[in-house]
Amino acid sequence: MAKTLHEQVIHELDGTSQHAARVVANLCRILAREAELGLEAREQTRVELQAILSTDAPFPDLLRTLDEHLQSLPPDAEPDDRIIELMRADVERRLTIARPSYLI
Amino acid sequence: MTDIPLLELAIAGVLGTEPGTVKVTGTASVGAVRQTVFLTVDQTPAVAQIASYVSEGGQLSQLTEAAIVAAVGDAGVPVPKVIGSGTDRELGTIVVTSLVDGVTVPRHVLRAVESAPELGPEITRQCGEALAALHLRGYDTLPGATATELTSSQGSAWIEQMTESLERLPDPYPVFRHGLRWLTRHLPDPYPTPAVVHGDLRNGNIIVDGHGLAAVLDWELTHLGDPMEDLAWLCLRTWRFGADANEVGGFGQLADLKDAYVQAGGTWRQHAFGWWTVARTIWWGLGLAGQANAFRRGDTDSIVLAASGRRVVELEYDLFNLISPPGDDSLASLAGS
Repeated sequence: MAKTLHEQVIHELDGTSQHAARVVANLCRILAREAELGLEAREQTRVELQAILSTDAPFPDLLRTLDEHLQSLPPDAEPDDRIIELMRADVERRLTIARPSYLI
Repeated sequence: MTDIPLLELAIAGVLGTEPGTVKVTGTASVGAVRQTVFLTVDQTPAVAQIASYVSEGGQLSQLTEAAIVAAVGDAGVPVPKVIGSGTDRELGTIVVTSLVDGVTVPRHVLRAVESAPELGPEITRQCGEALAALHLRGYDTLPGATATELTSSQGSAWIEQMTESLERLPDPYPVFRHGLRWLTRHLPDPYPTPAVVHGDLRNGNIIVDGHGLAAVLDWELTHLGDPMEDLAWLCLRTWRFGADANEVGGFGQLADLKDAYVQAGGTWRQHAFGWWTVARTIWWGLGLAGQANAFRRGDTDSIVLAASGRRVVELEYDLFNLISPPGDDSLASLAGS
């Protein structure tokens, strides 16, 4: 779909329509990467979060628990290094799906 | 798109000219709230923006925006000339400005710089000078009534607003929470005098011609605040459009921007610059998340806004690289503290 949009449709359009078609083509590519990598990326983050937070809660609850943990820290306290590294690794995994060229 | 004869009549009414003198020549964009059309007024090219109702969410009304544009032009900021503005009972507010030739689309700006490399440093210098003029003289040129309409927010109050934005989202964003906590620990001294901050000066909101910066556009986020907010926003990675070696909008070097700003009388505060770089990265990340959420809620069917959700992670990534760069345990490195 992305290839068709790029090769046959986008250059026939201009302005707002062309921009929207580019966005849709890009979304198609993201969905393809999501289908290939998404499940595994999410599973990795889930396992790491469960280990650090010492709970077997489901994924959305884990993120909320992490958020609440950060909120509960004293203002001048740094989160545990393992939490920083986990968040960074999760961001990089999600970025690999959303826009791999953005990774430095 | 509004019926063209009706539009021409309304614009002529706002300008106080004879109906036959206004001719709509094309459409630039048609949004849910605003439409922009090209026209001639007495055969002189111009642009009209028509807003169907007053914007919400911290954006200024079109008429306030027009008053600001007219005022900061006097302060030395390159802006389109405001030809006239007013309200039409049927169409809403109408602002007519001169047409400034040049390119605005970021990819076109970067292409122009690529084919004329001397243009990059020139635009950078002119952005520095324009921002210095705005920050130093903008407030004094504003009409009193306009100045009182501008919101003011810095430091802790700003963090509180962002925390409220975070809480309003249905999903948790621990990375942005981490960033807001960083902001709290690294607050800069507040800027002591009222300064007009554009709020959205970046590659995409400027017109560039063969001589460089022709005009600064889109003043709807103008507010009073810390001048470093504008300089930081202009340098966010997200506005470099892949040209990452050029920190300023993908077209220029930070050192050149800083030199131009200081030479034009501005005061460069490195700690505040770093703080606002982090702050506006979070602000935009939350903004993109909000756009995607508006789609999920059914408030909009825009596929472009839906796609914003996939860009949030770019801002989370930038945030990490700013406050916790890999292999660097000094969170304060960016802010120079």
